[in-house]
Amino acid sequence: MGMGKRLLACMALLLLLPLHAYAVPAPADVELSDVANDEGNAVAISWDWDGSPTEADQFSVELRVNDQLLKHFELSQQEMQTLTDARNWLSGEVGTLLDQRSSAKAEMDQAQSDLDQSIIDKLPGSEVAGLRRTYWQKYRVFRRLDKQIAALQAKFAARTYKGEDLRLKALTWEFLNEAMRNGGEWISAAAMAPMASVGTKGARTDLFGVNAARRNDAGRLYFTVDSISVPNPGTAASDDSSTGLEQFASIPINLVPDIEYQLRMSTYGAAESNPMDPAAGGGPQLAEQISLGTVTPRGNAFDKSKTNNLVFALLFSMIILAFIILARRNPNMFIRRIAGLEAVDEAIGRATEMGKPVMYLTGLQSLSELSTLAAINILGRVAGKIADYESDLIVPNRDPVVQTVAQEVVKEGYATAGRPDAYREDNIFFLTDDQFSFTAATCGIMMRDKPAAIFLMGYYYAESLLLAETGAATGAIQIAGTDAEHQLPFFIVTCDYTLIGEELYAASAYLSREPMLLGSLKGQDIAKALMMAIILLQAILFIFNGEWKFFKDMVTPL
Amino acid sequence: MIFLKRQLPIIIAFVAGIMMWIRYYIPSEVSTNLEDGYLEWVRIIVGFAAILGILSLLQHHMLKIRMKRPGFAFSYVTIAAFALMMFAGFAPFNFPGFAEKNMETGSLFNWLYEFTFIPMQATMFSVLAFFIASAAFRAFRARSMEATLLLVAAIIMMVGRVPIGDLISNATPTFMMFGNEYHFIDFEEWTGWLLNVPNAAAKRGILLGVYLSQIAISIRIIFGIERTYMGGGD
Repeated sequence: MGMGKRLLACMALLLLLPLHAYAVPAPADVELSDVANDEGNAVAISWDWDGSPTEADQFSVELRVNDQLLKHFELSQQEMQTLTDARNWLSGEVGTLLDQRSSAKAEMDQAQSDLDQSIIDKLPGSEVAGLRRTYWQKYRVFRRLDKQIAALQAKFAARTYKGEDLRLKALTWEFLNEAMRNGGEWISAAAMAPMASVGTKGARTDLFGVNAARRNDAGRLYFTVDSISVPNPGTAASDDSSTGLEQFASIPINLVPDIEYQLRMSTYGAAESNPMDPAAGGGPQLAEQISLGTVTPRGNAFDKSKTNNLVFALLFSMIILAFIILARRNPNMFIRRIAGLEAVDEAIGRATEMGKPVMYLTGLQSLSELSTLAAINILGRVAGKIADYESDLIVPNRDPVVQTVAQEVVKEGYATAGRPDAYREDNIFFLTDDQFSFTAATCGIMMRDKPAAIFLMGYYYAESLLLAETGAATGAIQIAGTDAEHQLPFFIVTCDYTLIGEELYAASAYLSREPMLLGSLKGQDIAKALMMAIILLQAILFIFNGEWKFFKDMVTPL
Repeated sequence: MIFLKRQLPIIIAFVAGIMMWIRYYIPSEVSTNLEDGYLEWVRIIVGFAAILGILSLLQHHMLKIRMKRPGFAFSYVTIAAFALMMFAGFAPFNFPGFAEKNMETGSLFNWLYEFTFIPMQATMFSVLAFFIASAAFRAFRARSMEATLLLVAAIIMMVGRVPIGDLISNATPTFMMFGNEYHFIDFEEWTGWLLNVPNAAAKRGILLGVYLSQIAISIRIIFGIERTYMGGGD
């Protein structure tokens, strides 16, 4: 089968992916809308709740699918007790401090205002300096109290929130926020804050319930709840109009296509326990139930929020492919000199002269990361040269998959160079997958074997300096290449040559001088120039207060 | 054989690459499941590879001992530690004085992990501070214009990030400019500028190049132009 037919067969396979359309509207009292969601199938459900809670009310949200209760959020009695105890403890500890902090803040503000006024009034320098000293004194007092309160907050959270109970955690923080916002009043006067509601995904307040349905289980809905918190609107003595249920008015949940969802919200009043009848204990009593409506979603065929991404990807791919075709016609393309790669021969030659091995590291990430793949590509090229020079090559690995691939690549490199007999499988070995154990072991090998040349390619974390500095101490010529921008300074300081960011990815093409690979480098440069032009244009527009929304939208999500 | 070794991997890379790319734009359940399935495969392969890794580790150290290569004594330590941890984790009986189950908190396995492995790991990490000092000493020697600039920037950053930087700034006289009051020496302001302007600009430039390169290398791999990672060069 020719290549063209194989490609066609692959494309036909891809078309088998089923495509779906969008969601269905719902009853008038409930607003439904599509929400662009990474996982898709999200529907925003908004409602207007007109309940009138009292101080003792508790709230819960029930989510039902086809009458099957999925989750009923409510604090258990034990959790409520924990929170009450912790709150009482905090009230005793923090009450005085909060008052002190309030007065310290007032004094600090006053001192700052006096200082500002003295500068405006152009008072003598000594007076201004005196006022500045006063301000800093007040500032320090305020900061000290603030830190004490923060420490108590942390203690409170530690007492209250134990384990993985997100409800309690959320409530704890909600309570703390309210307490800090309203000063001592809330803590001393307010009753227990009621729970519950449903949370949102990360910073997106419009996304809720994010886990996609699992494979072969389309009949069930899975979702995660990140946080639950509803301060009691009846007791929150705050001017903040968003306090209360209104702030959770939009709850998008992740839905499985073609399944009807029913959502309803219930409020519970807390009934007193009856001492005469233990069976009729206190606790939440259903007060009101509001049906939120039903919805039957259909899956998205295309995530419109990624249109710009698609446009850019296609454009970029076309530029690169065009340059690859051009490179086949004109193989003598100019690529700027990369000093680190020019030095590869020098490094290997040095190792041969000294009769010492070359060490090659592929970074700390797995093979699914592109930087590791780039490092493996370079290894293939370097291995061929090492075989030519008849040197030894040591490749310690952190990942067994990378090790297996590295063995194969080096073996092939030696075979291509006509020296399959020189290949030693034992020299490409797995050490450990623990970061610092790997570092310690590699540093040990460096100190014992004293390689004449060390290549540090791929992605590195905190161990970069440990490895490179040990290598420098052994006197090896070191060539590093990484796209970990935080580790670049360490490599630049300790290594003889460093491939910065994109040079790591260009190395394989550069070393092979293969026209098609060089063509893709050229295409990449053109795309980069295009991006730079867009950014520059957008910056100029921004400076002159103009805006070209197309560019902004194009660049922002990328 | 050529088909299995050369063409099949390229076809798999092409189909998987294109599928995953398209999947990114289709947020349907099927496409999510497809990705989940792929990730499961990866996990399974990695699971098998772990066995290869262990074998490679043992083989490497055994050979080192047999050939009496430099530092072969450490290989004894490695193999002994490996065997001890395996034994502590998989022993079919309970160790007296430790928790009942061999992998849970309080077990010998856990004890060994917590009181030998973690401290050693922390030691290795803490050595970094001294390495940074030695690397900084080399880097900050004012041998050229660039190195001098680096030295000055480093001093500003270091002083600006410790409390004394604040004290120095506040002790210096102030001046008014465009209605704002400034200190003659203001480390906080300077460190902020260094981080947010030149540093951020350079970092973003590098990252932009990296991302574009990643797209380019992905295209090269998907279309089978870059094949070194499969062994066999071009």
